[in-house]
Amino acid sequence: MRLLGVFEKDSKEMLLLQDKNTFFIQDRDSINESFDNYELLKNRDKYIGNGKTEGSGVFNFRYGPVTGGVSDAGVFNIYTHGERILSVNIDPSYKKRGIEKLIIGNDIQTSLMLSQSICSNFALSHSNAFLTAVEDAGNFSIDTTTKRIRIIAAELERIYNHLYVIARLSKGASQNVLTSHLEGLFEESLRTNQIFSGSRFLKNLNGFFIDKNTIGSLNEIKNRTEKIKKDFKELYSHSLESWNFIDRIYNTAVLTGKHALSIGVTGPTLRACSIAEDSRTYNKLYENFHPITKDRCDALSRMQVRAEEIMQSCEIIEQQIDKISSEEQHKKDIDISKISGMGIGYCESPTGLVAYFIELKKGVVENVYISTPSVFGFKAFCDSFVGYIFTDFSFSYDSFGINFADCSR
Amino acid sequence: MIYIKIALFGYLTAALAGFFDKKTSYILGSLSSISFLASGILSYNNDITITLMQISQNVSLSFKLDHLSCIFIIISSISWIAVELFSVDFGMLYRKRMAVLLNLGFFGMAVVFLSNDMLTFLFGYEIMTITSYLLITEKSNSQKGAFLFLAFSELSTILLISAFAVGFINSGNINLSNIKPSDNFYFLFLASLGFIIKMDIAPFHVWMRKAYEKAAANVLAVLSSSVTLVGVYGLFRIISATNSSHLWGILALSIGAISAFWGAVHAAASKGIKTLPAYSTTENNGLILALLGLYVLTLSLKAESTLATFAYLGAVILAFAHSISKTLLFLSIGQAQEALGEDEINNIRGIHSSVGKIPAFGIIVSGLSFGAFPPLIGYAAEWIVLESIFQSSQFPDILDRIISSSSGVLMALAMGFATFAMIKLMGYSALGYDHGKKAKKISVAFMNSAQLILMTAVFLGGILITFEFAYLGHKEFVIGALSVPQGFLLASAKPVFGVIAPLFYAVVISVFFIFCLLIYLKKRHTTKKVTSWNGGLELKENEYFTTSGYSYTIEYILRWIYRTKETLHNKKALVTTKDVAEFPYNLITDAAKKLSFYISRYIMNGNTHQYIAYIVIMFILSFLIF
Repeated sequence: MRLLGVFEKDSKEMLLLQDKNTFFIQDRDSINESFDNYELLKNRDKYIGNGKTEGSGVFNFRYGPVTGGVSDAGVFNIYTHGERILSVNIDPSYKKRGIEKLIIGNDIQTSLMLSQSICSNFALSHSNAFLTAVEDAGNFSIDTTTKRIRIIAAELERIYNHLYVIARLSKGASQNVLTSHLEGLFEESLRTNQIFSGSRFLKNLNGFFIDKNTIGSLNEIKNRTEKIKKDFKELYSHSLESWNFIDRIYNTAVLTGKHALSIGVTGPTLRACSIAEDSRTYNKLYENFHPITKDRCDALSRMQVRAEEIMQSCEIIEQQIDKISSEEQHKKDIDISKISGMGIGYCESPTGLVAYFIELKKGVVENVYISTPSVFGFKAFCDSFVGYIFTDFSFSYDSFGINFADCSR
Repeated sequence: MIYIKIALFGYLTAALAGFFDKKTSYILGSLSSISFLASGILSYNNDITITLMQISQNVSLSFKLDHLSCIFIIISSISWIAVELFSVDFGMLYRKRMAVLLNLGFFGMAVVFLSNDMLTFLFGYEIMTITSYLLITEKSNSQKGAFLFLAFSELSTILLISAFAVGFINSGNINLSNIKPSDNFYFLFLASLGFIIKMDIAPFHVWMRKAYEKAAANVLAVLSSSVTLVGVYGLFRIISATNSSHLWGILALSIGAISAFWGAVHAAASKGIKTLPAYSTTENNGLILALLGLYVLTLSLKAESTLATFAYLGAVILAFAHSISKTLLFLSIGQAQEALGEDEINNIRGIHSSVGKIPAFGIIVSGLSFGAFPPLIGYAAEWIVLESIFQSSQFPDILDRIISSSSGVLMALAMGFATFAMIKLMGYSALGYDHGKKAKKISVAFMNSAQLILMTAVFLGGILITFEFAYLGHKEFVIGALSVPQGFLLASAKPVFGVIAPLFYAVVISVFFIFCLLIYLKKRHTTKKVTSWNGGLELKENEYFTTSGYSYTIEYILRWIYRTKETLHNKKALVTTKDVAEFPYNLITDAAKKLSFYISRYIMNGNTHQYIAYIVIMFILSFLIF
């Protein structure tokens, strides 16, 4: 059982829990089990990390909140006595926008827009998780074609995010030729998103019904993804032959599977620890889906998982496009203004599981709790970075594919 | 002659005055040092002998001023003038006893430099040792360190007494200039070891860390520059009488190079404001010993080369550079340390704004000199070291070449580590961020004057290096070439091997500096000043890069030398390094402690019966043996 969140509901402390494909909330007092990541989730908006270290000569090598090495605002309090990292404490509050509070009191459509704005590069995952939570609360299901379009969008999101992460790792190792090619592919994938949804970051696409005739040419999407897959495969095979590159990420920021599970990490980070867990396996529309795993638990493994997932996502997109083309779409009438009740939705974002708990009353959000993968990812980064040196920062940090926007909401 | 009498009488008067008024004592002491300097300068070309007492036909006590003693009188008296002046203000923070002891100590060292016989030498040597020991105890909790100093100093004295006894048996008189040490291995060995211990050469430097941490800064300036200079003088004195021993040269070169490397490596890892310069002394005196070794080695080969003379002069310049630069360094950090009440480099940051510009500048000038920054005296001295080593390729024997080049590698590394250490000292203490720590108000006029005198000496000593060579009587190394007029270029050999012109460096640097300064002054109103970017937030106290951070990389890379140990327990981290040279001493002290424990427990334990039995057994044993 995994603890995904801790929140207040009716003056009670509630836990958002996952047991394989079952997501539920439970009163903390009624549960006997203890969770290693309870303190992490309880304090996720204040600090994430493994505490301060003191001692003669120990100082806080503060990195951030505004620095060239990290794309968004946040503070890394890195405690060291010179080179070796002793502990890391992260202050995520600089990116806090209070989106959960903003969502409360709004209708579903406005709340959907807000959920997309949490983190642009996970916009589709957040909207998917939010919508499935609404579907769970309203106890209704949407048409299969819309579900397939969501899958395609989610895989497109995965492709460009994974390309971005690998390009960052390559850039950190000064692999300028590889980086330029990867950035070229990244741009191609953003253009594919634009063709598919009208938005480079797949925003404003999602809903309870997506007309397959209003989205971009599926054939073009298929051709483009095929090309991305082919080009990336070639680049990836070359990258694995570059010792300058591989040496920087091999055995860097090692996070064992046991530790990853105790933190609550999901996504490529968990799968790089040889744990074949992926919430996409719970979706029957993903046919013959097998999570990609690696077993070294380091930055290289995380990169390899992402790299192979890019090619896997391309195949999934092709598979779903073929299905959509051969099936008819039937629109279901859904009156979202009358939905009342509680629901939990989730989506496997490029970095891990995004989960939403919502409470609706007549189509208005009364309560919401968002569990984002970056919270767990930051903790994983902090723990795995201890013992390494600052030079490993970019390889460690980028390999987790995390960001403050997703973490702080 | 009159200046010597004024100086010696002056020191004794100053010491007496110390019982009544500290300021008067220090001012009298500084005047005596000026007189001593004058005696050194004026007697340089005229040997003077003064008979003090005729004990028998072959045994007399006497003073003698020759070239060598005059050189060391000049070197040491510059440092003493500064220390005495500095103490006029600084000494007010301490008891009257310090003034008495300091002047007595200078008297003792003056006697050493003037002595022409073994007894007078030892008389001055012991005055110096005992006063130094008592001076260290001027600060509270310093007894242990002071005792360590005394133990090593007395070991040095015992070795010298033994050497002189051998010398007396060998030559039949006590006159230092009549000894031919090369004729007697034991004399050479015992005397060299005695002086090497005095020079704080590794592994005889291990007392320094504990003693230096506790002693007052003006005392440290004397201990580090003048007291060790006496050891250097002793070596110069015994090798000036030698017919050159190849083995001595090889040993001195190797031990000196190792000491230089060892001192510099540990200076690089030091975090204490006083321990870093202490290790730097081991490094500098190691270089001096190595150059003397090279001098003796070259002489022993009887090669027609200027290398021997150049190495000898190099050792003199290095001794001069070390003496004035180290005195300046200790005085400057001493002023800051006393004003801020901190012992760690990390906690003494921002001296330039919290304590004053002069001590900050003093640290920078001395630090740059030790870092061989042109055109300062340290630059010229270290250039001479390297040039001398480069020239050792002329040695005909391959083994000699291997030893000299290996020693050269160690010395070059030592210079690099020393620069690393000095950058740390300058960067953190003199130039570091001011943390708003309030400095204690102390009178600084004399302290500043003393530092300014030494800064001028460090600067002039560097740019006038060619004139110093000429003054020492070796104009053959002073040339003119490459558009540099005659008299301004220092050559390392004849025919020319390498050259430097520090005066021209000074001119070039000054021109560029003035040019940049003029541009700055013209545009300073339109120049935008910004604070350094630290992630968009002001740095908090615990966010400043520490000296531990600075040194950690080399402590980790060279962990087999430092025995680096990282501990992390309950979120408390610590990196510790060790000077493995301390291990044998620690073993000896541990053994002594255990032995005294067992004796006190089982033999002298207060049990009357056992004690009577002990006395009876000892009586019988003594009776049987004797």
